[in-house]
Amino acid sequence: MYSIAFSEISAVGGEISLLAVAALLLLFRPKKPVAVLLTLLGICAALLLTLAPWKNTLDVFSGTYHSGKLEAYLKDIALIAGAISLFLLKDDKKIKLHFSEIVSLLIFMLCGAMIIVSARHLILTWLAFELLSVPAYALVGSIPSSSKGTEGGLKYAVFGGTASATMLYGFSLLYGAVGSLSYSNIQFAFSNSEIVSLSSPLIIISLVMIIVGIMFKLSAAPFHYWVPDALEAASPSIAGFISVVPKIAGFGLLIILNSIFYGSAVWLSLIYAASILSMTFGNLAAIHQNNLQRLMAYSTIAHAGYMLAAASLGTQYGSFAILYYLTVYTFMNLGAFYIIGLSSEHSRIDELKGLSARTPFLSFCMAVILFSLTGLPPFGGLTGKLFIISAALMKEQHLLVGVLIINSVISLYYYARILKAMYFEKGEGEKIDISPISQTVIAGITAMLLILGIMWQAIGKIAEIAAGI
Amino acid sequence: MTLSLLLLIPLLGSVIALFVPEKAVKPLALVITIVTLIAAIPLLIYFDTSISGFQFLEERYWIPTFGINYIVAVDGLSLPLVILTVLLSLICIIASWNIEKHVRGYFSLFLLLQSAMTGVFIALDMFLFYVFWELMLLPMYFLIGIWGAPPRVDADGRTRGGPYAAIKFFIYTLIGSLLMLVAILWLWNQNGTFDFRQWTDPDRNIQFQVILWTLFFIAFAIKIPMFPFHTWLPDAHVEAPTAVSVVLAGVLLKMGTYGIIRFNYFLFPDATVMMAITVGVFGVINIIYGTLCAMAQTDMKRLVAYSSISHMGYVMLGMSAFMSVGRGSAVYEGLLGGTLQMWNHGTITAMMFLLVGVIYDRAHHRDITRLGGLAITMPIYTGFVGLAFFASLGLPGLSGFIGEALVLLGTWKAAGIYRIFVGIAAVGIVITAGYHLWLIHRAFLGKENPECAKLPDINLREIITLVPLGLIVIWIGVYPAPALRYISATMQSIVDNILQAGL
Repeated sequence: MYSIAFSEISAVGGEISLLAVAALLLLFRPKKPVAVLLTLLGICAALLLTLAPWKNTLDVFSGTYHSGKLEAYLKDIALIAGAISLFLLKDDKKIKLHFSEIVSLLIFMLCGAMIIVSARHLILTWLAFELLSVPAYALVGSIPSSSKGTEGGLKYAVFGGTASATMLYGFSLLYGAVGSLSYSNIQFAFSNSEIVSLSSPLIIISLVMIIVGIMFKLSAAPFHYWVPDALEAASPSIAGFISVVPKIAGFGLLIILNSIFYGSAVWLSLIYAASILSMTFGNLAAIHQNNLQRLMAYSTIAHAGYMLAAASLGTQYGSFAILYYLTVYTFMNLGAFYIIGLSSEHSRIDELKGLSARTPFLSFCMAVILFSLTGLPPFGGLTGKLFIISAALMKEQHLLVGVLIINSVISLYYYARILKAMYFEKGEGEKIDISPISQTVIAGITAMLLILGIMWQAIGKIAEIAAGI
Repeated sequence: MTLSLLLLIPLLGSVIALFVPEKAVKPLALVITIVTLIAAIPLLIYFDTSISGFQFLEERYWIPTFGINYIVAVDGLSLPLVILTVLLSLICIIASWNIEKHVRGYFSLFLLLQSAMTGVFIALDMFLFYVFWELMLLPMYFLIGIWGAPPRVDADGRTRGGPYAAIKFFIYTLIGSLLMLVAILWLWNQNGTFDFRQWTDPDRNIQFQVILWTLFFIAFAIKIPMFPFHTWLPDAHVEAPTAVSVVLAGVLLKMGTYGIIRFNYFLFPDATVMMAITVGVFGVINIIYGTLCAMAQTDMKRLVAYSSISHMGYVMLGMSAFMSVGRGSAVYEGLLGGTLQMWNHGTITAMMFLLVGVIYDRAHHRDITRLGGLAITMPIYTGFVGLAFFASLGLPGLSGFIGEALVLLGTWKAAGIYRIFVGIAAVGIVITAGYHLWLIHRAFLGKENPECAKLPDINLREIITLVPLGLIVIWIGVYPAPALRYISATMQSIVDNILQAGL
């Protein structure tokens, strides 16, 4: 009989503590303050428990579940993203559903993200993928008063369903070719040209289909059509969350799969193409947006493109660049959505006019975030880009670097539109009251971007270790 | 510690300025800049003019695992520019005394800008350099956008105004800096350190050198600004408030030529020899193009802006003439003149922008055609204008002449095609004299324009900003030897370094 050892429990400690919180929330439906406190406790516990395998890697449940440094790193960013979103969600007045239900959906998504990066079995990967996606559809549609919420949610669900079905089909074809669903067996097969021929049509079709599913989650072009609609429909607190956490999971999966499929030219060139398309399309489409959430949605497509550029290299240094950029991206994006949520009712750029005169604190932090998104020193965005560019230069991918550079310049233009509205234009509107908690969170994000920009020794080192350099 | 103080004092000041009462901000900024100027004096006293290398070197660990360190130092090339930065910042604070809008923000950003500008000139670690290089853009963007002219559409339907000029300036510079970032990361990947002194490699492939040289060069050329990357400059100058124009022309433009001499010349000597004539050609184009455009302007500030383009052309021409064509022997005068011209242009153009600001504060326009006979209404002002404009057109006895003369002397010595450049540049000098004199003729001499008959003369605060610059202009014009002593050793070693390693 198969018995579960303690070490196996400790490998999934974080996931268990989160699920326990979700169960408590759904069972007792506590009031808002209690729910927030409980969730924070759960997230803190999960943060500590996921760090447990940092010293020795755990390979549990007959090799289907793996907890190592890379996984711990990715899980912890996702958990921090969850905590930040929770603070904004707390003050969100647009949400009419019961708070505990919304938060439990959020927790399920976090669990899904955590399982994706740890899963070493295709079925488990797929299940976690669904666990990450299905609550997201519900979250986007969770503003019942707005018709846009329903539309965005439905669009997201239809696109998402198709994408996961495609990916599942890709998995089944891969199973047909390799004869196993476990990553270690697949890796073994791919490293022996006698077992698997990389140029066989079956392998190529299955890899293409798997890539489609992942690209959907990463909101990469040409599978990005749901992104602007879904992120516009969702309330800023949720939009920030679904623009970050699925990306952390998706890039985690991409890094892991890269270590198996790096030999396949099709695999890498598909990522390469998606990277160039996403960067260029995301930035060009963002220029003319007047809705801040739509603008940020296109900007997330562009940022996915930057990270895909590092992923398309298939090197360990590229993985490190992704990990670092993901960290910076998490703070930048959540910070931007946080401030959008606090400072505007309908997320229009016009609503930010004269924000610097009304609420200098918010406009200053937003300026820092926007500069970081553009990639200017002394903020984290530059350091992230620096690693991506230098990873690309190591592989002599000059075209990729060129496209990235041009896109950074284009991105300045639309980020500067927000800056212009906040600082150069006069606007009516009242002073915004910010709760001390929100103030602390935003100040923390701003400080974090500065730390990631000038004092990144420690974080850079951890990311290097996580990437296995 | 001296150099770090020059960075830290303004930086600290910019933070403190955010928290003091609104009334105390201006005195605070004044005290901060005066203290910084005093802190810079030891540099002039203890600088050993016989040494060509870096002095006042400070090295500290920053992010050692990635080869990033805090390394600052000055040599004969950067010392004048550091002093210029510190001096002009003080003058700009005095010139900004009439700012009333968001006082805290303005002075805080200005002090941040001063810190970043100083950093660009003293950083030897390329990561540090890049941080300062871009950091400078942020305050500049806001200073032009918020305190510049309000947005409007002019008679030809073109967008004008501070926000437009600010974003144009920002985007232009960002394109260049990202190209430079690629080059920096490329060299970092090869060497594992950001200390540019360790990036020299005599065996570097010439094609590779030329590519990297070009990446750096475009970044710096946009800053100079070199034709055809110059179109941001007139907009930025015209829309910016006076003090911002002063630092823009006085300090920021120098970063372009400084960068080329510091990095292009030092890192890629072979490519530099190959591209020298190209730099010279662009220098000559700048001279002629700038003067012709200046000739056509009726807006006084735009005229001064275009004159900057032409004067930076002399710097480029001078620094391209570092060896004689054919024989390959060293020529020092060109580079020496170019560096001196950087300093001179910094002081003279600063004066000119301050003077344009004076008339704009009184008449609320800068249209030359609507001025006239100012010599009668504003005699003291006209005196200062005379000094600045004659220095700018290169009158012997004033500093502009020394710089241009050295440049032309060096270029002539370089022989070959450079002699043709001298001829064209000489034509440029004639046109330069032409538009300067024509401006004085139209705005200051002749019949009084009733529209500006009642303008009050220049006041004490404005005189205080102009006098130190005026004294420097006369001093260097009459007795340039002390100034040249500071820079000559470094210039010689730069030229020798190129010729040693060069083709």
